[in-house]
Amino acid sequence: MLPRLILRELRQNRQQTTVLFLCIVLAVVGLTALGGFQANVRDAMLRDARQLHAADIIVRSSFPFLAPMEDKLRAYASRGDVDVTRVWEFYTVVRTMDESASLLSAVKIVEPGYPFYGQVQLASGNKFQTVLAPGEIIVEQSLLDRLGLEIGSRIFLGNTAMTIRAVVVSEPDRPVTVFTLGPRIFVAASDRGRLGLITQGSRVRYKALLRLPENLSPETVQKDLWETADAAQERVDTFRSADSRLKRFFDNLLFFLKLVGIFTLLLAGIGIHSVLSALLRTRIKSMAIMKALGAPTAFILRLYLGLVLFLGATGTIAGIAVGLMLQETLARLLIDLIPAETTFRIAWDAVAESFLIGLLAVTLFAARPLLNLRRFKPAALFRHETASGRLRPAEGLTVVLTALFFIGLVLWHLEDLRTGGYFVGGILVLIAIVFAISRFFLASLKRLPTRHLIVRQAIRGLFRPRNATQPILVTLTASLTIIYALFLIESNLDRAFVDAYPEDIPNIFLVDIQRHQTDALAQMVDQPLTFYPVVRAKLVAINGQAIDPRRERRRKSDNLARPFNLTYRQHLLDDEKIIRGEALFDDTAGKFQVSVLERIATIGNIRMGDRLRFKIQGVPLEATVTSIRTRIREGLQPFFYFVFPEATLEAAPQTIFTAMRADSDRLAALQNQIVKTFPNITILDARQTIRQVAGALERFSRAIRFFTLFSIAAGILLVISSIVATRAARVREAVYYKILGARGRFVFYVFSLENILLGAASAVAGLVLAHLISWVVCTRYFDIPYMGYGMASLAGLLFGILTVLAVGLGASRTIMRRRPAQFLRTHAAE
Amino acid sequence: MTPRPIIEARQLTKSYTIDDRRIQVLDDVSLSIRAGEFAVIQGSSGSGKSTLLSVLSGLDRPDSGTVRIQSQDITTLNEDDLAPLRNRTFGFVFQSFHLVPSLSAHENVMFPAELNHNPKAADEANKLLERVGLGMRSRNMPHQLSGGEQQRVAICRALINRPAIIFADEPTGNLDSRSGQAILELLLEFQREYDTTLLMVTHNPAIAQQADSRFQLADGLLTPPMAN
Ligand SMILES: Nc1ncnc2c1ncn2[C@@H]1O[C@H](COP(=O)(O)OP(=O)(O)OP(=O)(O)O)[C@@H](O)[C@H]1O
Ligand SMILES: [Mg+2]
Repeated sequence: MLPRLILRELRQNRQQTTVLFLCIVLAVVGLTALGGFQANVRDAMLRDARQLHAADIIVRSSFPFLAPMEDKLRAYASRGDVDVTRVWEFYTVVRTMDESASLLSAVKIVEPGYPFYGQVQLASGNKFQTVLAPGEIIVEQSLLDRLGLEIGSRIFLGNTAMTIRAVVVSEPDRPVTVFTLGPRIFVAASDRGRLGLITQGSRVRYKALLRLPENLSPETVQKDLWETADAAQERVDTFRSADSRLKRFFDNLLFFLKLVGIFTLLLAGIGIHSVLSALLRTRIKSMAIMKALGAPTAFILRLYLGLVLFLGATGTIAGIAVGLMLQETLARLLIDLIPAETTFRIAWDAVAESFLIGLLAVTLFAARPLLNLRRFKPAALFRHETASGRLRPAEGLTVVLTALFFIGLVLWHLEDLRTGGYFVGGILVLIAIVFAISRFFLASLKRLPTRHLIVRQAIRGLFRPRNATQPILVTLTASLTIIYALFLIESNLDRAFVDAYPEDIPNIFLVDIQRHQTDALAQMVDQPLTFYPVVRAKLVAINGQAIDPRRERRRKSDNLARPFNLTYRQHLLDDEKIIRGEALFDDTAGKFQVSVLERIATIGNIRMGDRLRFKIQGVPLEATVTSIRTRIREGLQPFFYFVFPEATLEAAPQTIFTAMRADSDRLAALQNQIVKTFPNITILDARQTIRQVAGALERFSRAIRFFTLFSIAAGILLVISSIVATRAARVREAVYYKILGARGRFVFYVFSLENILLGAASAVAGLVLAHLISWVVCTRYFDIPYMGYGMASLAGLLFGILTVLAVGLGASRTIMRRRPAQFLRTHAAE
Repeated sequence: MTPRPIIEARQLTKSYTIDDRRIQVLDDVSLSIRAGEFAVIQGSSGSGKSTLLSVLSGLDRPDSGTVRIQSQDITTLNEDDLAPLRNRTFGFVFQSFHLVPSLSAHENVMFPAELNHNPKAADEANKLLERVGLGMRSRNMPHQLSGGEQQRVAICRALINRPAIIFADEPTGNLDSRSGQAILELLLEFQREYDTTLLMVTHNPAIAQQADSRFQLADGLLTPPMAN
């Protein structure tokens, strides 16, 4: 009997059960897709973690290893059971033999042992270690293509001619090819001295890779090496601890997407709650009758619990199915960015998790309306009112459980206690604010004296008995807030990306220019150039307090322990503004002063008057902060955290660089000319990179937009469900108006106004809150400038009001044209 | 000379089809009612009394046939054209009251007058409520009133625009006999005072006795009026 009754309920309330079903599907879809995607990408990264780093232990530095580290490495190498190999990486320009073409390339010098794990794959299929020989190099295909060469050709690497022996297809410890400035060149370590490329000052990444025997734990060795390492410049990682840039990147992206997923779940959950409440409200009479006929509460409870569980199970399964399909979509959106070895299979643990979350969410969000059932007494048959809204202990418990579930979910998914805490706190505050606003709004409306009939009827409509206007207003406002906020954050992120890559950004960087070459260079390229002197240095102390490199590395944003590029000049740049201090420098403060960029001042908590101690190639320099600057435009223009007066740094060891824009057709000729005249100057062609980065960013924003769509869909569903919930009462009212002689227009105006009041109140409140939230998120979390998008906000406001209006009116449309007798009959029965 | 009929129905038919079964509720029904008359429709349950009343008052459309109110054919009118008629010419009293739940008793009563742009709507509503003994309850919402009280409010609402015709469908059906009697007397009192036409569906033989004409409905067929 129960299944039949459940089926009948489903059929009789098709509209509401459909919305309920969709809510459940939406609740599960996002998290399933993200969970599966993350599981797969992480799997791929962990499975191949050793290969991704080609070693058990990786020691890295931007400088040659210091003596203690060298000694330690040598000691390990001589143990017999530990293998050590060295790798040097840097960029340099290669030239064809006739000097007609040149190209910036990423050189990797490796010792014979490399790689310990994984394979360097060659196009020929031959073994890397046997192919790489002195005097010969192995290159990426794109180098051949761009320089018009083939295997066997010779090119200049520095001043040495080398023969191209083979083409490399992939290497284990460079899985992602997005952020590179040029094609790879492998060089044997025995050629290192001959090439003479590694000199003081050129930017080389020094690496030592270690392979350990089974009985030696990487963590022990890591600890041992840590003790010898100079924390300021040497880094020791195991293949497990080394979190690749890739992993960090995905963690950040998924973090944001998961926030969106949780929002979707929350919205969908509230949707479940409100649809179910509305459905049960229309059932009061029937339930009272059932009870009056002797049906125990448990029977009625089972009926609707059965309904909820049936919808919950089917909805969750459907949601998971869609989610699994979407995980592929996400992979396609982010193609090229995920490790090539990632295979997309069904991550069963993620599926199980989704199923559990789905059912839990459904049960919890449905619990309160279901528990409410117990309150309906057969007396409802005789009285016209429902029970008062006081919370019973059992219901209070479900509220608490729901909150705990939600908080647990946030913490579990965000894997970050503090952010999770902020998130949950923020949501609670949001709900409280929305609640207060709606209460205030309704209270003032109620008191509003109005003589106009239409206005009065519309306002009265809001206070219809059983109308639950307050909860509807709260859910409407909350969902609109979230829709708006997601839109605003997404737009701001998008714009920040686009702004960073305008049409006219410099696409060529000239590095390692010497002082006496600047004039000639400017003349040669025939355009005004800004030359930026660069002095490499480390910040060692602030006000005498030493910088702790280990702590610095834990920062999510920039850290103070990395080497900085200092510069000197007497003027502000076009895109800079002083925010503390009178001018860039204080004329009375002497030589040892420095101007600091706001961003790093914030990170390091640096204030005016602080004393910063730098070390420039071992030489200490201490200066007082006399101004703090900010940039008025974000973009690719070069910027410097620390600017000194000319007199202070002029004499320091330095290089000069400049940025320029060159059209593609001129570029090759220019490049050759520069390389020929000034062989020391390195040309970085950023065009490819800019294209790739811009493409990648576009893909991220597509992925983000894709997921925010779910949240927005859930929000709209919520709007629909809460309006549909009041449909019955509205239809009845329309019938009464008509019987009493109101024209369709009157009914239309009253309902429109009622919906507009509802829509406008929630849209305005939602928009204000959304701006607040987005502002905080953009400026605090993403660190990007905030833009309000006035026109779009207005459009969003209109969209919100019109959606509420359309859904609200849609529900009462048929009644306008048809004769009222039929409606009267059905509603008299209620 | 007999006055012109205020309600004139010709050959009304109405049927419902449920699961391929046709129920002929009205089968070639014709009737005419004179202005100022008190007419009663009787018949067993399910005989189609409510349906007939709905068709005569324009709340429903017949399948065929015409209804003329004050010589105007209302069967072809659309909902908006019917609105002024419902507002000023008709008053409705139903078995289950049908008060607007979001409006107080007073607001329910004055609503039709306000729709009619009557500036004295509020005063007149008050007077009517006083008259039916509900002066003290005018601020109450419908769900705060008893059935008899709700029906009295509904009668005031039906009367406020001084309609030419009042349609009453078993106005006492939901009330005990005492308050039912009071409601009926109230209706008749107003009918005489305002000189309105009252068309009422009732099972009460005592009331039927007082009617100017009685119609009997059975199997979709209307027995011609029996004048009292
Ligand atoms: N929408 C409908 N669909 C199908 N049948 C209907 C519909 N409305 C009315 N009927 C049928 O038409 C017949 C007449 O109904 P009506 O309500 O007019 O009867 P009634 O004489 O007013 O009865 P009662 O005295 O019980 O109020 C009934 O048999 C009823 O079942
Ligand atoms: Mg009836």
